[in-house]
Amino acid sequence: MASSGLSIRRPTEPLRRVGALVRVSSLDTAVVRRAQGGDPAALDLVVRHLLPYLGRICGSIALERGEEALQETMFAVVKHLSALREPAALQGWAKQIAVRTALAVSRGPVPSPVDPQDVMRLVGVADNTTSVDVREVLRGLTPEHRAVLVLRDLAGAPESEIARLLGVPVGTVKSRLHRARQVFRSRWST
Amino acid sequence: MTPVDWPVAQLGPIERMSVLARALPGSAFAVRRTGLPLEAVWTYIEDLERAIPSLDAVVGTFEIIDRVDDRLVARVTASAWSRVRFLFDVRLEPGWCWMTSRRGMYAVGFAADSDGESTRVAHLEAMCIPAPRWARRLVAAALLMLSYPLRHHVASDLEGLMRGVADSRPSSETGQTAADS
Repeated sequence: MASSGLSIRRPTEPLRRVGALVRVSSLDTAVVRRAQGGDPAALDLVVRHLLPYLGRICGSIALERGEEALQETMFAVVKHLSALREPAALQGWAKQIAVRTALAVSRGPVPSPVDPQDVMRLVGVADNTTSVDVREVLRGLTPEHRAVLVLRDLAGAPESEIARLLGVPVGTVKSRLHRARQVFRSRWST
Repeated sequence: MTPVDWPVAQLGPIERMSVLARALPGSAFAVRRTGLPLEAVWTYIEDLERAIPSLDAVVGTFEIIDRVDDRLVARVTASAWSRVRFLFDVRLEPGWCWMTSRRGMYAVGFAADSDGESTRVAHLEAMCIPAPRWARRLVAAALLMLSYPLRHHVASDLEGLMRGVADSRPSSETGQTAADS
């Protein structure tokens, strides 16, 4: 279930610093190995550990279809968990699955994203408060732009990693990030 | 403080349990819907010492021998072989119950969630055989075969659960039940 009533507050620091605040602690590699071997108690721990982190990624990229993206992500994670060679890489590996799944779900049969200019106009009308619906702002971005923004500013991934993950040049990542941040900043400056 | 409240997707307990069902090749998993309120269903389930032996014909006794917050240790005896005892580690939270045998060979789960005016209840049972990497596919195939009889068992348990919840309520408040999946 996607949570409701989400809002953004006027940032007191650069957006890109956010990533460091939402990193999650790593799971004991012994637990991951037990889960890979089919231990049900360890599997429960792995799922519990990953859900909040992947939920942010799926929720921010797939928006209203975030729950669907998250469940598909978790299905893929547990299906392929035993193939993960390095347990310490669990979170980064799961993040890749989440981003790709959320992008695929977002590209599904849903209405096309609206033009960012429309969103800026929408959210800028008669609203002098410091809070707006962050979904409304994200909805103004394509899934690809949301993915770049989420990976950089939520997950704290470097641009080179984002480029590798999405299969695009670093220059494309930079331009997408620039455009995505523009939408946010435009809102904050109104 | 995080200045941006990013949208967060969450899974309810039923969906979370379905993930564990996918992860365990020897599992049987079923969901039922009932018109009874979530509170009534969960009040019945969380009384494990009473509920488990009454809904599961294989279980003779279910005794909680230790408890720290939401973590319990239970001693279970089979109805046919009362001298054989199994220890289960239990995680019991509102809408969520996950029980695993001490050696990790068996798992039992219950989950419940409100779905508007009705309540969905999920039940999972799984045989688990920890396996080294090279044997995992073979073990998974064997567990899949063994899981077929478990499906009937899980369906039977859910029937027993619904009967138990209904019997624990005044007759005017009992709701209709229907298979969901």
